[in-house]
Amino acid sequence: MPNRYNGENIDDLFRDSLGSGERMPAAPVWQKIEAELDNDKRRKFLLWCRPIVAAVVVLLIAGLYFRNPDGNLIRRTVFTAKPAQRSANHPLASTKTSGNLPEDHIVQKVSRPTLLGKASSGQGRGKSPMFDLTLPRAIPPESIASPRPGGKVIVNNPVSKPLPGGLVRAGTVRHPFYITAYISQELAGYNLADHDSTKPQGREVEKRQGTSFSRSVGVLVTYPLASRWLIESGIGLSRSITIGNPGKTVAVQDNNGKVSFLVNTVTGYGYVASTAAANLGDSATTGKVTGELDYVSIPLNVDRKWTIRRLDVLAGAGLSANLLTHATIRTSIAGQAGADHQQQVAQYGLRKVTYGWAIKSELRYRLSRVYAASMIATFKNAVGPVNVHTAYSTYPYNFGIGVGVTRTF
Amino acid sequence: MLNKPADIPPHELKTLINGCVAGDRSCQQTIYERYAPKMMLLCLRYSRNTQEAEEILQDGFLQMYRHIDQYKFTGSFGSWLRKIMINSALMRYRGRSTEKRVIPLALEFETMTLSVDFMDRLGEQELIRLIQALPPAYRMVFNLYVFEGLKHREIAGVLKISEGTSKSNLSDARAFLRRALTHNLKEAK
Repeated sequence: MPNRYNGENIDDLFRDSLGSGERMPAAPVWQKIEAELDNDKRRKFLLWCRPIVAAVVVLLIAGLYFRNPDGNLIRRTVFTAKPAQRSANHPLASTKTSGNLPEDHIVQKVSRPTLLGKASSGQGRGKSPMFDLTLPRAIPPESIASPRPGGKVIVNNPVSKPLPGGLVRAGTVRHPFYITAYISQELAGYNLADHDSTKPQGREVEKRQGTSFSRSVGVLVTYPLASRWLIESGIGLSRSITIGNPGKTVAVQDNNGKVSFLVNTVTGYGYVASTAAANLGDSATTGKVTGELDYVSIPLNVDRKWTIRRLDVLAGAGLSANLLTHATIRTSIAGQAGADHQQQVAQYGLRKVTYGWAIKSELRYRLSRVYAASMIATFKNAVGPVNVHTAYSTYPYNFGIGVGVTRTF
Repeated sequence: MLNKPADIPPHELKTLINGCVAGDRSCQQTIYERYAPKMMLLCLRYSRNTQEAEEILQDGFLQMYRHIDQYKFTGSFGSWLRKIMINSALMRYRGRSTEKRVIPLALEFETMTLSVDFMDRLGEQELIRLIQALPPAYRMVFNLYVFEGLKHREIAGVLKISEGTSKSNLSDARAFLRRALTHNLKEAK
């Protein structure tokens, strides 16, 4: 209804005119609403799918966990059969009898499920013999009951179930994992990035930098992900040592307010107490500066495995987290009383946790079914700087050679 | 086509709402067609222009469809939907409340071009344009006070302003509208 404005209550004018009218929205509004509703459906579907996807991922991981490193679901299966049931072309026709069992019974250990038609001798690939005509160790002899009148060997295993051809799957053995204890010696290097061109600290330190090396010991657990892929983790202890040549140092106020000589290393810095009265700004010469950094490392690698007879060749890459546990500087101040006296002080300016990436290769020679000797080569590089210096950042890298012993479980 | 009245028999409305709860697209469209024209006018009052009004309308309907299962048939569906639309407008206003737009009043209504028969026939279009010309804070208070019937205390709570500010904004809004109407009246003469 059109209204006439005559200076009356303006609220009433608007309320009467616009309080109960209608106005057609443009047609695209509904189309946009419809499109959003369709998106809602998709979002709801994705939300609904999320637990299913999570469950599938968990199942896949579990499947990989229990998967045979040879690529089959069952690595070793015990089959039993009565000779009378075998025909001439039966897969077990040519097997031998075990001397420890009744003559009319055969126990055969097959490293690959013959039912998949993939049975092969496995000889020449460095694996355990394909046909082992004794009971596998995984199934203790006492678990075998007396022969039934039918002549089959019964193995007390809940997973047993009849298979075609008169075979009985008597039991499975979980595939192995490996634990390697190693010791490694590494040559270390440092990339320095100067942030402050007005302070030549980084370049000076780099010039004074002598040799650097580190030693590591640790334990690695390797677990097969698939037939030729392994995942590896563990724990390592490493000590990185940096040796700097003698150089000049200046007296400054240390963290406790005392006058001490500031000693820089390629990684951090420390305050070496003056053995004589020193004032702020006094200079002195340090002896050889040795920095020691102790880290606890947790690597996570993925390896590819190749097998050549008794030799396993592993090559992989991964990441590691390194926790700094101890950092010191050892040096002496020349030109002062007691100059020959080495002082070991705390090293500051370091990050507590650092991360790195690594590539590695390993040769694993099987000495027996359980033990193997390993030789490991690694190259590690820091992802970020190990220090929190404002003048320069230090990115360590090292190349190491190690030896170890691997036990199969 | 949006040519059906909003008055829907209760049994039909219940069927439509249940259909919307189940995600039936035809029921959703029917509800939209019945209620969108009324809601569009409301949105125009709370917005700066038609485009913003359509965005408020769209947001409001989407919120309604997403939460229609919360409607318990205890009150009028139209009133429930109206509240959702006002909330949608308030959310948009809060999202833009940081934009402190200062409008010189005289300049604003002098630049407005109203229809020639403004004096004789104050149609919806002209009045909507006047409300839309209000600064957002004034527009919100004016709408909530005049059309929704809220008290200044309630408006202050909704808009997170003081009661005094609400009163002041309403007074300024009325002055703005009155001056705009008077100015155009003189111009027309």
